[in-house]
Amino acid sequence: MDKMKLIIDVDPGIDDSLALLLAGVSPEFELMALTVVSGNIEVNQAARNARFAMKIVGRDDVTIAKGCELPLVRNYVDATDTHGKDGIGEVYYPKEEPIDHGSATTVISRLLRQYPYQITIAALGPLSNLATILKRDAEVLTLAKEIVIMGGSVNVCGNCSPVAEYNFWCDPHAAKIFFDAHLTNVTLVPLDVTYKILLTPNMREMIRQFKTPLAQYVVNITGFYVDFHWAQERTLGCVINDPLVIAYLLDRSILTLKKGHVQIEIEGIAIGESVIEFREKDSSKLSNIAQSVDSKKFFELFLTRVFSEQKDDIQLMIEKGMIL
Amino acid sequence: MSKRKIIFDTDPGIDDAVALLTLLNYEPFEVLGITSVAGNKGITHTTDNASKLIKYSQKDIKVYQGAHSSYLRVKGGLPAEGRDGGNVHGVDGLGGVGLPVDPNNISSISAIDFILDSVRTYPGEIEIISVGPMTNLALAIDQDEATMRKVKKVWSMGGGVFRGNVTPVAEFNYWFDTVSVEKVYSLGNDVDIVMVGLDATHQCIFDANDLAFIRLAAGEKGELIYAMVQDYLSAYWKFNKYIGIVIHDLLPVLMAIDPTVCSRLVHSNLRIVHEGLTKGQCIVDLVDSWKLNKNAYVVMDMDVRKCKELFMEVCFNQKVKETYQSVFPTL
Repeated sequence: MDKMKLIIDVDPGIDDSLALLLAGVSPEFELMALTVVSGNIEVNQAARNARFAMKIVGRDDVTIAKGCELPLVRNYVDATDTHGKDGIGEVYYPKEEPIDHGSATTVISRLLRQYPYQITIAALGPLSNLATILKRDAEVLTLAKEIVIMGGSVNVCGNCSPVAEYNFWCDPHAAKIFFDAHLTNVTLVPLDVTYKILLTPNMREMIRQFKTPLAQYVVNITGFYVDFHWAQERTLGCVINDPLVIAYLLDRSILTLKKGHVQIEIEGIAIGESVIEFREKDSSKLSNIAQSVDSKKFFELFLTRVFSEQKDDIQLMIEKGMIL
Repeated sequence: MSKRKIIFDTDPGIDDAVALLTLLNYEPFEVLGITSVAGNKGITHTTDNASKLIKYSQKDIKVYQGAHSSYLRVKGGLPAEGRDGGNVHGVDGLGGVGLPVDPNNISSISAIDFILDSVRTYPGEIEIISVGPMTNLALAIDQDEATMRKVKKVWSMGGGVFRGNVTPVAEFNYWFDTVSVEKVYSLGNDVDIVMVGLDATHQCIFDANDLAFIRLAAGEKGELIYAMVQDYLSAYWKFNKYIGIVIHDLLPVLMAIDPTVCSRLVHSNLRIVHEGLTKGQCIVDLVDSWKLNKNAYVVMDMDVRKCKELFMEVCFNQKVKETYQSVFPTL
């Protein structure tokens, strides 16, 4: 079977890094490029963090290209309060730069033209890179086979305001340009489903006991996140949004979808809100919106793939009801 | 109303430490003193550890040093066995958290004298929570059995009906000193002896979620306990494949505070095996097939949720318990 050609547009980021691990170890993917954007952390450190994650899983071969340093219009606000000063929990502070492959937007455009209708894009950060491409050349993104976005919130509170999720709130104008382009085969994975993906202290403790460098890395980068979640919202454990997108590409039964028209608010107190009209009849405007998630299936997939050597222990813990 | 009078006989030990921090925080009890015994660690370590915990809790009570090894070794004039290597309790017995000893709270009176004096002063009133080998109690019985029959209650952590830890059938405290166990249960007609064994304690696993909660929500004492149990946690992963710990010695303390944390208690005959393959096994006649005297109240099931909530309330405070309830809601 042909591998799925995948570009990940990303701003690592703690949960982003976990998504990169999952993608890096999954043989179903041909990782065409990681294109980096300022979001959780500014683009230069985000690129170093991406490289760091890929090295951990022995995938230093993957192209990493840096993109937008700033949102299109808004002043840039990072999320280092959540992700730590280095973007990955203040343990590693990666310093190694990725090899220069040119700009993210150029890399994405070139790959889409080279492999028309063959490439899936997983967009896990603010949509600044994709919007920049759209502004320059509205046609090129139509060459993507599928685009899956982590962002927005529908019927749950946002994480930057009561109605806004960080990726869209950080660069609402980019999100608006993206959704107003009405590309076909776009799927939105909002907070409504990612909130259900809670990496619990029990899971972290199990991973800690695996005692491999990869396990140590996962435990180390998520520690900060756990403390943040507790301090912020009295949640015990940390929500890991981004790996859900990658897992969905591997197993479509993890999410259920519903068609809706996505519009983005770009001003006022609701800035960054994703407004979804599920009654929209014009099919050209519709995207897929994730409605529900099988979190058990997600974690089984995520854990047994990233920690494939400890598969038996993971299965045993699931059987004992200790982690799921 | 006068407070219930408690003596805590212990070999700290990490689970002992958590039990003691809980006990010392429970106002309705008057803890007369802490008696140390060799077990999890040698007697110097267990005495020092008790001293550290008293100092940490800022309580005006003393630790009374007890037996340096098991009954037969003490009686035979043999030296203590070396038990001070690193094990599940860490090299110092408290997971290496580095609390200071307070020499002023270590009494020169022996554990045995202290126990006997206390019972003579308050006959029928003293409750002993025994969470280590029962050597001190047995030596006190040897010295003055009539007085020891005036103990009100013994809350014992040890033994097991259907499970062991040192061997498939033997639990450490009872296995370590079987003779003492037999002597103590020989008082069973006059003294209520409640056995909280491994059947009960293993039901109450404090998992990594609970421990993370304790670290985050339960203040400085919570952080101390979290730090103290880290190696213990790794040991439970290694030996039991638990993502969590069993705080054995805490459960008799919780039982003493609120007996309704026990959901099945069986009054039965208990005997212990002294040698051979099953050394240290306590044989509990749950169905009364031997028709022997019922010398033990054996805890078979715990209300786990109630145990955890009571722990959060007593070891920390009401607020921590309420936070626990909101973080881990029940139906």
